Amino acid sequence: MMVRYTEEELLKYKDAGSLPQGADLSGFVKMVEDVKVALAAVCENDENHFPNGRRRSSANHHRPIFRKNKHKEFLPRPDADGWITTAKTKKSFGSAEGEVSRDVFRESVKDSFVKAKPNNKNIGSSKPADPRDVIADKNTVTFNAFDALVDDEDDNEEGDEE
Amino acid sequence: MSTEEITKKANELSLEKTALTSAEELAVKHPLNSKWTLWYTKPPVDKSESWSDLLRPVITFDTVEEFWAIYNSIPKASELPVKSDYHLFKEGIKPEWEDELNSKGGKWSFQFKKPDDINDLWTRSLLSVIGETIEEDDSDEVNGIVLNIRKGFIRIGLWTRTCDENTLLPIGEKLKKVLKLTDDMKLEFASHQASNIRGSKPLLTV
Repeated sequence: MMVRYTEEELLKYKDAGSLPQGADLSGFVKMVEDVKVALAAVCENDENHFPNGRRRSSANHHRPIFRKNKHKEFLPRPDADGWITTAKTKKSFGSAEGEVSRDVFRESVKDSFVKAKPNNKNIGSSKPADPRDVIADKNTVTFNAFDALVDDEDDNEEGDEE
Repeated sequence: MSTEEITKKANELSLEKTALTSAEELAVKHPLNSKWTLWYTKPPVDKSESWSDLLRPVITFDTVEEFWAIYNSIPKASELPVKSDYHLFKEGIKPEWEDELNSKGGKWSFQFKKPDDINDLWTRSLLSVIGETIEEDDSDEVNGIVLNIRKGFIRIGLWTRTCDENTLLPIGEKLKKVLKLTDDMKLEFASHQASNIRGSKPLLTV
């Protein structure tokens, strides 16, 4: 059977306590006291270093860099009645209203289709992006000055020796 | 005393046996239903101290008289340094989420903003737990109770074995009375698993 005690029943024995046999809590109590003293010393040390509760902003002999907001927001000024009117920014094709704008845009560019040839001049691969460039890039026979110096007669002589 | 010396003393902390037996020891004692262990989390005074170094069992007891003797000997809740914790758990259960008997459970907790009567509230919490009146049936749901002393607040949490709503709701209602919370002060229950997730909502509220 489960033994239960109400708060009132337990309180009746408050002053009749005895520690478990062989138990000594003096070490624990001293340790808690020592921790309190050590933590107080740490706090005091911190206060001596930073009497204002914070580190000096120029503690390292140069001024801190405070970054300014790059995008400063300009709010409209209130009117005579103290009201501010803000314009709602238009979202690109994000709503039903946007769909109309999108269709208008598509219609406007429908007939102005521009054929663009890809430029692979600066691309690392030697493979042409456009297959028609294969023809343009094909090796061609060019004039070679050394070939031109060779006499036709030499060829004939060689043929005679054989 | 240096921080090293304090750490050493904390590590050496253990129950010192004496050959003497007091006269009161021979008197009849009132047994508790369960055996309880008081644990203490020491605030870190050195960065090298780990959680396992800081959490230590202080003493185990199983009678009403032993409880009061311990209660009267140790520092009161209001006397503990910041970042201290008292944990009172059933013997064999470590006050950690990872303990097998805690892992599937959670805790009812309330955070007080430095109440004047913290000693009274903590004492009432302890009595409801060791007297086992916090549970109306024999479900053995309560594993322990924890007091956290922090810079801006004090928290009391009741650790349970499961997250079973039917068992937990009457316990939560009882704890709310023990902690003298008004209707607008909400006591919340969160499972230990959910406590790992930042911003998770409480499982139960009373």
